[in-house]
Amino acid sequence: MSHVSDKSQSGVLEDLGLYTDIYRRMLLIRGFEDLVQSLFLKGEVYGTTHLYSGQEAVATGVASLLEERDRVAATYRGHGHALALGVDPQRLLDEMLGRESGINGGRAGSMNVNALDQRLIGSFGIVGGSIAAATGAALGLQRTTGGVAVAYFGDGAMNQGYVFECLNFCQVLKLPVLLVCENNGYGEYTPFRSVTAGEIRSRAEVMEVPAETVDGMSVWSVRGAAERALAHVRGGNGPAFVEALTYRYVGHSRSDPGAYRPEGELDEWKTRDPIVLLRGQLEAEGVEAAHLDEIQHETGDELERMRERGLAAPFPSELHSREFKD
Amino acid sequence: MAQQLTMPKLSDSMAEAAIVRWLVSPGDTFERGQGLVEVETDKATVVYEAEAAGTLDSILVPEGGSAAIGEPIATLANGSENGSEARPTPKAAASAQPRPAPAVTERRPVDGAPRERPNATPVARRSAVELGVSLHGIAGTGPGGRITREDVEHAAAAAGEPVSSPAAAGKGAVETIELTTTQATIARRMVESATTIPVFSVSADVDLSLIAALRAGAREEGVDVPSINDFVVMAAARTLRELPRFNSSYVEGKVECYARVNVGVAVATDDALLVPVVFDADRRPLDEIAAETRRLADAARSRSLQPADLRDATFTVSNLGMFGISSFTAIIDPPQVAILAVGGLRGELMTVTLTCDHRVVYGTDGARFLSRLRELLERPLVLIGGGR
Repeated sequence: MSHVSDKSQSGVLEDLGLYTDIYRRMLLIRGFEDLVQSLFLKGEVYGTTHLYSGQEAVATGVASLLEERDRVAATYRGHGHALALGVDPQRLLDEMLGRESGINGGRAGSMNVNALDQRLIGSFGIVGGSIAAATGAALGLQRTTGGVAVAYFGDGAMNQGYVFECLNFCQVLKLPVLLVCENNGYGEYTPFRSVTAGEIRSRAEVMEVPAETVDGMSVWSVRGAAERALAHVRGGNGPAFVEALTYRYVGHSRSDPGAYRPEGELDEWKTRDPIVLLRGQLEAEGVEAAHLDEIQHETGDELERMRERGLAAPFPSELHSREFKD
Repeated sequence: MAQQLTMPKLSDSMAEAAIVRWLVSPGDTFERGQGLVEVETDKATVVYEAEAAGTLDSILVPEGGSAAIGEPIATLANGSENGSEARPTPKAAASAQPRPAPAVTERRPVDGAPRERPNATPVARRSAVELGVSLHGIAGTGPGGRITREDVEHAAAAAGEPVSSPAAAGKGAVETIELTTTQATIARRMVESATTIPVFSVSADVDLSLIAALRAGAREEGVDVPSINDFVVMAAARTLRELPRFNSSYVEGKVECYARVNVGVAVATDDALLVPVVFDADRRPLDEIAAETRRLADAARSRSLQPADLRDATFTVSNLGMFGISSFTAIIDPPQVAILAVGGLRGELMTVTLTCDHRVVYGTDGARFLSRLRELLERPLVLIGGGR
């Protein structure tokens, strides 16, 4: 694991403009999840949702390196993955609210979002299903554009048998896959350590897939690890694996108060909040606090407008008339 | 107008939930993220945290009460620093019974053409189904012309007015009475019971002459005399222990039998029916059962029952004997498997009727239950002496 000092130093962020954009995107994801939570409480969200709050550095760090030709398979905790790729937040919100203007016409809800024009081939409700989808996508990409397929998945997925079949298949065929394990410490309600033997990273290494464990709360650490992994993959050397250590701030789904977590654990992780960490680093490297405040206000205002527009948007007029093509 | 705090949706599948505990009191200010109330959903007990800072004005649904998603559970003071004398008198927090939420809105008509699928809130849709009104043609007053619950209620009220409803004219003026939250809960559970449980009933006459003699003797001694119903509760609990299939629930094609025998005792109050629970009734002596049922009945009438007093019954005894009813059948309180309806004394005979879930028990089981219950009531020394 690359050790990151919490003391901000100068010269860590290679491109302040880029990281300021990432800061904005992380704020958008956090605010979006707060908004979804608030609307869920009012009964406006159709179906369950799994919020990404706390894990923002992973999706934004990886997405900042992706190209037009790449493809992404997200998990059911996928709002952050979608927003990091540039999916229109209004259309994503409308999807949660079951509106015709949703990114999938209000039919997919939270767990099944896809946005092909934004490189998101799907959000997968089956634990580890994203790995299989990315494997298939990589098979196609290898023969066509040469892009990389990214699979996000959680620590729980690493105990699914077919994950190893996919990993083996990818390595044997040298498929262009970046595997990003978001280890947030819990598979649903079960602590990671009570169901998982050994290190996650070593499960990839046993197939000679290069793997790295990284501080998932530090977006520049995630980006650094993803950059090394993508260089390997884009070089035609087959898959690479990144394990990001992170934490989800809320329960598994909206039915879960997360009461099984030890007292103080959440607060401890929040002291290393990815947004706070990045902001501290940006300020240490000379970005004006007032500018960052402005971004925060703009994002808040944007989300407030989204809430109003989303609630005013029409529902699908006829539920079964839409044809799905391609 | 005061803002309202409504019942939040705290699980994927909840339709309504119970208030376990208020963490703030009327007059308290709170910060964003501070826990306001503990809510028991269908999945877990969850603390609902404030989405914004504010001041609690009054509690509309006290501890032990329940409300559907979107129904008001409290009012908020809008940042005004009024003294407590300026506020409406807060409802007693110790009261265990929910009160009807006040209807507070006035109608603001808005032009809106009916859509293909009416734009309405989920709560409004549910209300429309419950009230039997069509969403089509209702002008929504919410954002973007969205139909709110209030709009539906107004529409339902308008439909109920004699002038607009020829059907009502023949029945004279119509007074619409809102159900309290408890009454609405009872209504929903009774429909669930009647539509999902295939039932049969068996009856038997029990000779109470020995119990009557015991009670008469005790009364002459001037001691607290257990009621006939206390004997019935005890005998039912003993029978449940011996016939555990009655102490169970039908759950998704399986029968869950419970280790504890908790007998609910139906208590009529002014506006509802409550069923507080005598826990472990099979292991308690008669005087303890008598004391506990008296406490629970008093608490039910004074509305001071706690949520824990109303949960986890595995069987119910309902007694209308004091009203001179000879016999009746009761509706099962799901997910219980049976309910015992107790009639009044005719001479020395009392008729008991057991209504059973036929998915779990059959006619001969019902007969066995009642015959054992009768044995215990007709041999009170076996019942009282062997109770522990």
